[in-house]
Amino acid sequence: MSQSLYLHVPFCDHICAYCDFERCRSHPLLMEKWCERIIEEIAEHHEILKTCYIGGGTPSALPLDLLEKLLQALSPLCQNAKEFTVEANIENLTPEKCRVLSSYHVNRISLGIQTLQDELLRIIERHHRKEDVEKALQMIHEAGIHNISVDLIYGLPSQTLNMWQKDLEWAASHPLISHISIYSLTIEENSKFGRQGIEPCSEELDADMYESAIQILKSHGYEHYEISNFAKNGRRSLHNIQYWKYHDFIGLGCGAYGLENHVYYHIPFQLNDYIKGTLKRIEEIKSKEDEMFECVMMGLRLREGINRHDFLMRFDIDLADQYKKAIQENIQKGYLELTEDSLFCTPKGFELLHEVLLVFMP
Amino acid sequence: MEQKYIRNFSIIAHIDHGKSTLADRILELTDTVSNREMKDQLLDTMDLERERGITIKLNAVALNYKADDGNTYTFHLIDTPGHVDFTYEVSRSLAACEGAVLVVDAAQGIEAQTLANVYLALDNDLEILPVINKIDLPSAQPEVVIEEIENVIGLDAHDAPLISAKSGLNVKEVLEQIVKKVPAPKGDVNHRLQALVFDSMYDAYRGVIAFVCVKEGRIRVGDKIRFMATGAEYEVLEVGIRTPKEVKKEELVCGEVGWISASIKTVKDVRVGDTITHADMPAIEPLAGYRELNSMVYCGLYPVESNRYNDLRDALEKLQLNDASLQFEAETSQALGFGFRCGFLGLLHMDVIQERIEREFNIDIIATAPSVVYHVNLTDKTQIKVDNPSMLPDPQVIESIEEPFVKASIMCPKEFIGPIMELAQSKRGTYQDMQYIDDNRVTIIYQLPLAEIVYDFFDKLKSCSRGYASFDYELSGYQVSKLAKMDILLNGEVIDALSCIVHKDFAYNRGKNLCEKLRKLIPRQQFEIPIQAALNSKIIARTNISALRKNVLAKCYGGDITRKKKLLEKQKEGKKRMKQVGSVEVPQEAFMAILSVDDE
Repeated sequence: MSQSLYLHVPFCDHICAYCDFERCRSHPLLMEKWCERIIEEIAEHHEILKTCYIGGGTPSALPLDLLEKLLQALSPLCQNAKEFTVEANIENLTPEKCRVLSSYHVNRISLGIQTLQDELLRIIERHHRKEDVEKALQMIHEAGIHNISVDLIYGLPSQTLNMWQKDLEWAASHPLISHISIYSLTIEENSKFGRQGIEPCSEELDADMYESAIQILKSHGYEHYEISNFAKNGRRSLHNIQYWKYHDFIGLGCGAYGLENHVYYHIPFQLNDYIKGTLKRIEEIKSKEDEMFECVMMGLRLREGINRHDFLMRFDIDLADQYKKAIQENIQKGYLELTEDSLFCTPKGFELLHEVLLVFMP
Repeated sequence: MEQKYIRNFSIIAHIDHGKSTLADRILELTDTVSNREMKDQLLDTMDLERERGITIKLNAVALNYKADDGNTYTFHLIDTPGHVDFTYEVSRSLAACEGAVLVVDAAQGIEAQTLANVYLALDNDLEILPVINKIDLPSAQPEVVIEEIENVIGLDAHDAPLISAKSGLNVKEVLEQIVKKVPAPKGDVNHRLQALVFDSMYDAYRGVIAFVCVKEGRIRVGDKIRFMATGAEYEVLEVGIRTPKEVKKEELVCGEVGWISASIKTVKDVRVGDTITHADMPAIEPLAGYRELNSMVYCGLYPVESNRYNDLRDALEKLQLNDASLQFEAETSQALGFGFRCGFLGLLHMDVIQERIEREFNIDIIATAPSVVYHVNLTDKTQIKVDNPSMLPDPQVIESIEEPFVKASIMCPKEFIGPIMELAQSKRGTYQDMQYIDDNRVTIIYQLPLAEIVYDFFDKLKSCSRGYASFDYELSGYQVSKLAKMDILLNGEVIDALSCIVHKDFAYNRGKNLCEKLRKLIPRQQFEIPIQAALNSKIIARTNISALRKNVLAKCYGGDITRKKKLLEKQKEGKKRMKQVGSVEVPQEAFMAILSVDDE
């Protein structure tokens, strides 16, 4: 029985220039219909969840009444959840919404800040300013939610190393923030950036930015527990760890992914069919070989790597035997380390994870 | 069919001036092809030809036309390839005709290639009928073009039909002129057989089919025939014509154009330009004009996956069945493994063959940069021919190197004379002549090394004339040049497939630019890779590909594993398209890099 659930809210008030995720512009009537449909779906579930994550899109783009209905529907599943995260954007978060979230057991907010530089915010078409960020953090805190994560992006057009370091310093030293996710910008073909033909920043700068993030965040007491995630005071993301450990999770709502009983599924982003209830999810039955590789692909993102005992229990074969050649090759290059208990990346291996994984591929 | 009612003709035109469209209209007007069967541009049968809008292989169609004089005529329309690489083949198909329809675009006027083909037609004593096409274009200037034809070619063009092949306007007038102006074939059915081979194709069931024009005598099923140049003898099994469907006949008589099948196993026996005669009663001499074809351009072709070597050989053999001008022999490269050295008539021919191998035979290939054939004079007073730069002997034993030169005719509007002459000079050209075609356009003649044309001359010409210049060349002979071999070293190893022969005055710049180009083309790897260029073993340029530092760490969102995995799969696929050369993975494009290196 899955203990984690991901729910996808596909609406955004505005589409950011770098985004090609499954989302569309907010529309009052569509949101209402969508909400009715997803509540029907939630009603079919009776799991007792350990972690729940509402992502998007922009969950905070839902109007207050719909947000409350949604949380109400989820609440029987989330009574005892250790971690219940909702993604929020600064531009549409209000004190009322924060209070509603808090009253329905939401105990963690993932706030999409991306950058604090006004000039860069304009380029990526984010409609908030630095002072709005401060207000939002206070608002969440005052509503009683104290586990706050922020997203920061590097490698943006015209972003300098200095700008990036400023953002990191600010976030790392902010007393209300205890988790930071950093992402390097990928120019997706179907994003506005992709259509505009914007070039990614140089690999040198990208690497400098990544390395300087590790250094700055560590110096502020952050633990680098996953390739692009940092936590303070033990506040790792419990939900995301389920993905990285390649455990089952339920996916709900069009645009979501899920993994249950060796079936990996995607609910395609076809809003009208979804609302009508005619949408079929796309399923992929994973072979053991696929699962083992994907387990490695996800597991090596964690600093602690893959637990050999867990792997053996799950797949009935020792990781070190299954991938003997790939592991040896990567150890020789200084990308991996193998101990009695686990297999994990060196700092260099983290940076070159694609190269590490290519030799594992079936 | 009485000989006086036969008309054999070709259509000659510059690319895009409407040759194929006119051919289509003629087929329609003579009810040769019903509308239902009519695909656009029927004569071009290969996909590749259609896509590129060019005709590579020739084809001949017989059609019946009831003329205004009340008689029914048989037309043999012989199609010609429209590119400089196939000049000889064009000349042979023209030799099968008595007339040629010269199609000139009413907006573009005469182009260098049109002119080249017109001269071929004049060499073959053809009656040339100028036709002005695309007169329905707003930019059409038929009077100007007529005057140009009269000035430049010296043809009377005052009654040239003004047509639109697209809409069919005045196309009938073209047919009437063919009847009135093109002479019927000469020749005597009672003379000894002389049939000109102007094309051939391979048929899996019947062997090689020869396309012929019977110049003298007759050829019947059951005849024993001899190919006069190759000496091969066969018994004729079938003869016929194409309408364009194949129609079998008992015989072909003088004046007729058709096909012959005789269980011919190899296309090498059926050379374009050869004469077929009877084995037991041969003609005294063959028809004039036969020439053996020599490859002008060579390159190495290697399978990306070495286990497909045999497939590549099969593909080349199959292509050669239909294309005697394709030559190949096995060669081995330290960098690329086992492959083939292939000879082509020219660059287009090379492109077409490469593309067909990839497309029709599904083999991923790596092509090395094309090379011309160098004549290398050694100190022991012997001469060797080198078509692969890595095979050039040690400099100590070389006395001199000769390279092929061409006479290049460039036609352009006069405002581009400056840039074009500058370009030709920078490509080691020697000015020979310039003539005004009319008030606005000129023909410029240069002697140029063929190697420079293979390099990037054509692209440069197009860009410096904003596409207005047209260009044609013919081989003019060999001359000694200051040439040397430039080697490229990756990670300290000489990569034989990247060696090239360069003019010493250009070596430094080309070496530097080639290193730079390779730096951009070869993806970063997990270690630093020095790239060096060496001239006679002396390093003249170097640069580094710095080591890979970091992969992009994209967001792994909402448990979306697919996105990440697809990225990895794409990367793995990309690696497949690369060749492991020593310790370095090199993408295919790198082997052609020399061609896109700028001299500036």
